[in-house]
Amino acid sequence: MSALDKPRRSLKRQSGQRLRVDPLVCDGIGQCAMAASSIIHLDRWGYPVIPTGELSPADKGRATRAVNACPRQALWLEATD
Amino acid sequence: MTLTATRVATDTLLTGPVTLRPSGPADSIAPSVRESFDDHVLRFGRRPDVSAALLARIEHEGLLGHGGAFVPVGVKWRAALLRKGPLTVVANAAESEPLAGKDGTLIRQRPHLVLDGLMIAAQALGADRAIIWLHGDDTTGRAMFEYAFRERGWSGREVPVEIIDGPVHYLAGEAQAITRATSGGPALPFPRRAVTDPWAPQTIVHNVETLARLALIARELPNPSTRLLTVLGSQRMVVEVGQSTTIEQVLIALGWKVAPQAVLLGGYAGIWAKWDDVARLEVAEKTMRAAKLTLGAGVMVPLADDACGVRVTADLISYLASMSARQCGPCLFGLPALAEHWAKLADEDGSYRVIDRLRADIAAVEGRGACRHPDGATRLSTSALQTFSAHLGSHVTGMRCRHRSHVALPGTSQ
Repeated sequence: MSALDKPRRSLKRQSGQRLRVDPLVCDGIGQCAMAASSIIHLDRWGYPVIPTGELSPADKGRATRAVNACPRQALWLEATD
Repeated sequence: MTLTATRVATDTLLTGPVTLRPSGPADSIAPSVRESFDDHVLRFGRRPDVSAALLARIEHEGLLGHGGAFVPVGVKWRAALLRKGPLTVVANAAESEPLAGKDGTLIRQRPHLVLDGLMIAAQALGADRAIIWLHGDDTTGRAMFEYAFRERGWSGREVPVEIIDGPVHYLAGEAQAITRATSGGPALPFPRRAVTDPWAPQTIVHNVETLARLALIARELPNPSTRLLTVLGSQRMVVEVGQSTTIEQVLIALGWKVAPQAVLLGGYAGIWAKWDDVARLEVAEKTMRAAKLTLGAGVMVPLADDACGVRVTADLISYLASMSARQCGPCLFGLPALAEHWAKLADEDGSYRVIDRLRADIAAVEGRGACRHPDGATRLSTSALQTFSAHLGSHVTGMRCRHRSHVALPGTSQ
């Protein structure tokens, strides 16, 4: 058991979402860029460059398509906090 | 023992400066003073029991991680205390920067301070397991700890302590790599994903200097206001200096007579800076960060006036590319691309277009790796382009580089 008092957890507010890629899993297949070409492009080695900030409502749909398109399941949506 | 000797000794982390072998583990050329367990207890007293006020005291003292990232220890502890899974505390003595030797020196000189810190952290956080993590080639470091265990008459006290030899690799001292290795995976970094399960096993990695400082803070002794530095001049030296010492003063104290043209700050994945820009800066991390610089784990490599910074950078980037974890595209393809551009520049085999391509590839790699390794290479590249901009001109215009002094940093190719 800990000798210290456990700090209280504070409540986090749920906000927008952002797109993430796991570079370990990504094999540079490029399906994401085809599914969502307006927000994802490929670098010169074929790996996706994804938007870093919070997604706009319009982009969220595109991002979801990219997530679903990835055969390696390397992409996911994450809540920004 | 006199009172003054006691006071001096608790004010510093090291027992004295040392000259190390040019590369590899922090084995000193001449034997340095190792504090025995009896001396340790005489000087600092026995390890105090952990009190509930410790976390507050750590935060009051503003204890930061000394592995190079300077993450506040209080932040790490609070995050660990929120979770309920079995906890492993690691004392990280694996210095991956090829030149860094301050941690290796500390564990050779004051192993008991580090062990105290590890036990205090393990007790305070309610850890089930404590690990000392070393580079596989640091046989002296391992022997030092084993000897320290025997001195203490340790056979698995409150929390069992294991010594683990990690691989000898540039990334083997990275906290995420250690976390992965101690839970049965390869010693390679992996990207941080938010862990949602509060019962998941967790690992907290502290640099050994951080633990030594923790051992002092827990005893209500002041956190020494010093900085440990490894400087590569004609020799590789580890020194302990006051935070307000300037970079110039450090070099003067180490016997430099002529100002270098530039300094590599932080190590092989560090930052180049022009001498005139940093000579009068204090070594304190706060001062460094205010100037958008960092000394990381305290490594400094001054570059002599007649050495070619472009050549040295090319060697460094090629070294970093060779030390890739080979896990992700940006690192696997990006770093060799950077190395290729730098080699072209160093061989005077390119034009301004090579510099343009280099800049484009830096932008393509930056921030996209699975771990921070590629970012080290892009940061080094960017700082080299700035620092050696004037000299770079002679490499791409056919004027030929006149800086012919051969500088080969240990471990890099030439």
